[in-house]
Amino acid sequence: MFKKIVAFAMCFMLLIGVLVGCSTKTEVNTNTENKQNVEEAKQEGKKFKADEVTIYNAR
Amino acid sequence: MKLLFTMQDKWFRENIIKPFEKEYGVKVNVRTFEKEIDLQNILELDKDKNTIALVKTPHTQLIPLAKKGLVMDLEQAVGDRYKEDIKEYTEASMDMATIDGKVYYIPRKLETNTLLFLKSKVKDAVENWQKFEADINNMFKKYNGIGLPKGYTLEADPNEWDWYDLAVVGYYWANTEYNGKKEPRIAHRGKKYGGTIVEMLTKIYQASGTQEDAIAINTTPVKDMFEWEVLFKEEGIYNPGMWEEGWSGGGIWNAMAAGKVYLAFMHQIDAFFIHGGSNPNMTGYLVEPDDMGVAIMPKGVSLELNENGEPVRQGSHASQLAGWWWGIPTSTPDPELSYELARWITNAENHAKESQTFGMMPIRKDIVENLNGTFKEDWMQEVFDVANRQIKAGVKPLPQITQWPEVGQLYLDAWYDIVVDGNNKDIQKVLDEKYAPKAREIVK
Repeated sequence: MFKKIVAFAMCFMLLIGVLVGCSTKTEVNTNTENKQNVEEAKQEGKKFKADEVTIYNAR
Repeated sequence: MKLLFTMQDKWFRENIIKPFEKEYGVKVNVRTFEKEIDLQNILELDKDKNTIALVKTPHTQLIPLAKKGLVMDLEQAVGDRYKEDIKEYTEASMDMATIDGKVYYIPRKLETNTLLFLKSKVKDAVENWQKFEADINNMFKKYNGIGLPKGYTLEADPNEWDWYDLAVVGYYWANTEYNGKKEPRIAHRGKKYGGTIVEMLTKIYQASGTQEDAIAINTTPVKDMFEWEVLFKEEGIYNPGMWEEGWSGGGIWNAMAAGKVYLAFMHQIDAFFIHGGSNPNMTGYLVEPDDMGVAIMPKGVSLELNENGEPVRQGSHASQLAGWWWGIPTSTPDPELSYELARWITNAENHAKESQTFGMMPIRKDIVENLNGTFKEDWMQEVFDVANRQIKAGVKPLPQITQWPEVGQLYLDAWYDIVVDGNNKDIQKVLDEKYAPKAREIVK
C-alpha cells in the first residue's frame, strides 16, 4: 500500500512538474511574442517619439 | 502669385503630408511664413517650445540659419546614414546645401531664369527685322557711336542670342503692328521686390560679373547692365507696365495673356503656369500654348564696340540659381522624424508628382536623367531640358552675405533712379557717388 501511495505521489508530482514546466514555457513564449509585437507596433505605428509636429512652408 | 501659392499649398497638404500622417501616425501641422527674414524669428521663438520639425528655407537664408545655429547639420540629426541618401540629389542642389563642408539641408526645388517667348513672333522678327536695319543702326549709334556690330546677323535660334539680338528683336516688335497696335513687347519684373533684384543680378552675371561685383554695385559689369537697361527703356523696347504697374511674375503672365508681351525671363514654374494644362486648375495664359518657346539666357556683351566693330566685353549665357531647401531646426522635437519627413517629401514618387503638376525643377538625379519618362508632354521636357542646359551654361546663387537684402534694395532704388527716372547722363558717376558708398556702408 505504502509503495502504491509513494508511486502515486511521484506520478502526481511528475504530472505537476510537467504542467508547471509547460505553463512556464508558454509564458516565456508569450513574453517573447509580446516584446516582438510591441517592437513591430513601434516600428509600424509609432516610429517616432513625437506625435505631433509643425512644419513651416513659405507663402 | 497668390493663386500659385494657394494651389500648390493645398496640393502639398493633400498629396504629400496627409499620406505621411497616415503612414506614420504623426500629426503634421503646416504653417506658412510671409517674409524670408521672419524665419529666423520663428526659429528663435521655438527654442523653448520644440515644436517645429522642418522649415522650408530659401536660398537667401541657407547660410544665415546655419551660421546662427538655428538649423542642425544632417550628421547631427541622423548620423552617417545621410551620406548614402544625398547621392540621390543633383550636384547643383547639394552644393548650396553644404556649408563649410557640412551638409545642412535636403533640397526641395531649384529655379533658374531662362528665356521664354512666343515662337511665332520670334520667327516673324528673324525673317523681317532687316526692314528696320537702318533705324536699328541709328539707335545703337546714339549709344556706342558705331551702330550694330560688324557683320551682324540675327540667329534664328534664341539659344544663340546675345543682348544685341534681344534689342534687335525688341525693336522690331515694338515698331510692328500686331492686332492693330504697336507696343513694347519685352518685359522683366519691375515691382519693387526681390524678383526685380534677381532680374538685374542675372544680367550682371551675364556680363561676366561676380557676386563681389554685385555687392560693389559700381564695377564694369554692373555699369554694362545699367547701360543696356537704359537703352531698352529709352528706346521703347521694354513695356512700361513693368514700372507703371509694377509687374511681378504674375503681372507678366497677365500681360502675355493680354497679348502685350512676347518675351520675358521666367522660371520653370512660370512656364508651367503660362502654358497651362499640367493640371485641371492650370488653365494657362496663352491662346496658343504650343506657341510658347524656351531657351537659355542671352549672352551678355558690352554696348561698347571696339575698332573692329565687336563688343569690347564678352560675357556668357549665365543665369542665377535659386531654390528652396528643407532645414531641420535645432529645436526639433524629433530629428529622426524631421529627416524622414524631408526624405518622404522628396522621394522619387512624390517629387515626380509635384514636379509634373507645378513645373518644379527636379532636384533628384533619377528624374533629371529621365525627363522623357517623368514628363510625358514635349513642352514639359523642353522646359526642364533648357533648365538643365542653363545650369551647364553657368549659374550662380545670390551673393551669400547676410546684408544682401539691403544691398539688393539699392539696386531697386538705382533702377528706378537711373532707368525709369532718367538719371543716366553719366551712369558710372551715379553708381560711384550715389550707390557704391551706400553699399560699402551696408557691408562694412
